[in-house]
Amino acid sequence: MNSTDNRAARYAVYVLSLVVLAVVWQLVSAGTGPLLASFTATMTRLGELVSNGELGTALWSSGRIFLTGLGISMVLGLPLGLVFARFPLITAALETYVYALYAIPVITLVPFILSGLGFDFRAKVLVVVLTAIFPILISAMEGARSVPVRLLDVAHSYGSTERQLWADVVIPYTVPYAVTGLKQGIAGALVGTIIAELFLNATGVGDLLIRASTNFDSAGALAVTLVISVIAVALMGVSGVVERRFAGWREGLSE
Amino acid sequence: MTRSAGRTPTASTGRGASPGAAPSDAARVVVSQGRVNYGDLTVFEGIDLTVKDREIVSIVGPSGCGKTTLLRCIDGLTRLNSGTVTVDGKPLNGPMPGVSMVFQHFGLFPWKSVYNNVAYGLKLQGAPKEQIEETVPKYIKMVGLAGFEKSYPHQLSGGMQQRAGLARALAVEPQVLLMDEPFSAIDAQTREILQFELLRIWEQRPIAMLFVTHSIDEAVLMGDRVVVLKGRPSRIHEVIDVGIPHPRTRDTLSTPRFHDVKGHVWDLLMQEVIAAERQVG
Repeated sequence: MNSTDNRAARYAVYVLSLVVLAVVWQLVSAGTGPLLASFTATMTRLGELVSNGELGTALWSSGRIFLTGLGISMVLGLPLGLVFARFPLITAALETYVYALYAIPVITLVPFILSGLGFDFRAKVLVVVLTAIFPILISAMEGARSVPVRLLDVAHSYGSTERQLWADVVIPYTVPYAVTGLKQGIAGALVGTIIAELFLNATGVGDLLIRASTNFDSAGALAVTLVISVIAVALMGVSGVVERRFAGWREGLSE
Repeated sequence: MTRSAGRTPTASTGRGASPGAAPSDAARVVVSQGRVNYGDLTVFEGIDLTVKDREIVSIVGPSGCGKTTLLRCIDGLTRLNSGTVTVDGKPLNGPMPGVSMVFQHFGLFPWKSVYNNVAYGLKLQGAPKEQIEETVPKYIKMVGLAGFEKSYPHQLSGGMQQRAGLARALAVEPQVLLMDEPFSAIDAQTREILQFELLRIWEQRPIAMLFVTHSIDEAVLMGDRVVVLKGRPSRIHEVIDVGIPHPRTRDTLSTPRFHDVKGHVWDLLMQEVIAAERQVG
């Protein structure tokens, strides 16, 4: 009972905060002239972008880059993380570079990518991979590395082979870590997609943003930004749900 | 039975002598001149220990005496630096199918249900599906977890988790059961319940069991013999025949014999603890 009340209250506050945002936005924009489009103007422009198909086309174009980059990051990052965790020598050789690449803002690499790959689809996907792969790889590595010795003991005690150890212990143990990494990877891939589309050649959502700002179409730029935020929040929400599925047994581990 | 014999601890730093070995007295585990050291630090040395079939041997000793290490050596998880372990006459070279261990911190896989945790050992051994489906519920029931097959470890109390740990160890139907301070992470009341349940389960199918514990009461209650480890590096200081027949119940705790043996073990251990305290102080 209490928890449903709580939930209702939380939703109410959530909706209220959106309303307040819209009202404040509307009021502030009234005082700043054409620099900041009003909430209503932004919504109208958003409607146009949807109905003339521009937004849909842009999202499809950006989505392909985003999903391809994220997919490659997962397919490479997860197994690499496991291998790094299990073979300390490989880690010793490469760990520093992994963390260095993780720390560098990808934007500083854009000139090199441009000169190496030009600015086609592959170059953009590479930018996405560079922003998404490291959190995924590092989480998988840290997950696999932190498998408690007592669970490895149990596996050995029952005569587990190395292959069975991976299948029964290391990989299941790493899954929730990997999901957390994936969540960060999604956020990274989103940023990477926008960077790629703004700083290589403008396509998709990046192209919409650039055109809107060069035309002083403040409402258009805000509408696109709003759409990106909504997508980001939705993706985070979905991965949060997946993450929580594993929360229970992770807590059980700390005992 | 042996009460009339009074306190006659059979001091033996040698092999557990078993005169007139009947078939059921067959030695399941033999440790001979066992030594483990970590670098310069020798944990224990000169360990000669025999565990016969249908016998429970308790191992007590001060913290850091290597009780758990000794158990791990018998499970094949740790290697002796010198000496040998044989199980059923075969020299041990790593974990063996007939030996299972119950771990201090349960060692359940948090992502597996109780059912799948209990089935783990059988699945690793490649047991056929029918055998798993028959055996797993049997042991889940035996340890009193019927109805919790689908629960996950984090949903269970410590006592229930260790019940699952015990069921997992029993499900592979071992010849030797190694208990590594199995109840030390469990609250006192539950611990007492589990001690008697373990005895009841063992009485249904008596096998060779080694029981490592910090608790003198527990060592005497569970053990047919109590091995006292002492010294630095530690050695077997004394092996005491408890001489209380099975089945053991709560009443066992109030017998004079229980009291005597407990007192004797207490004296042996406390000398050392007090000496150690003085050294520190």
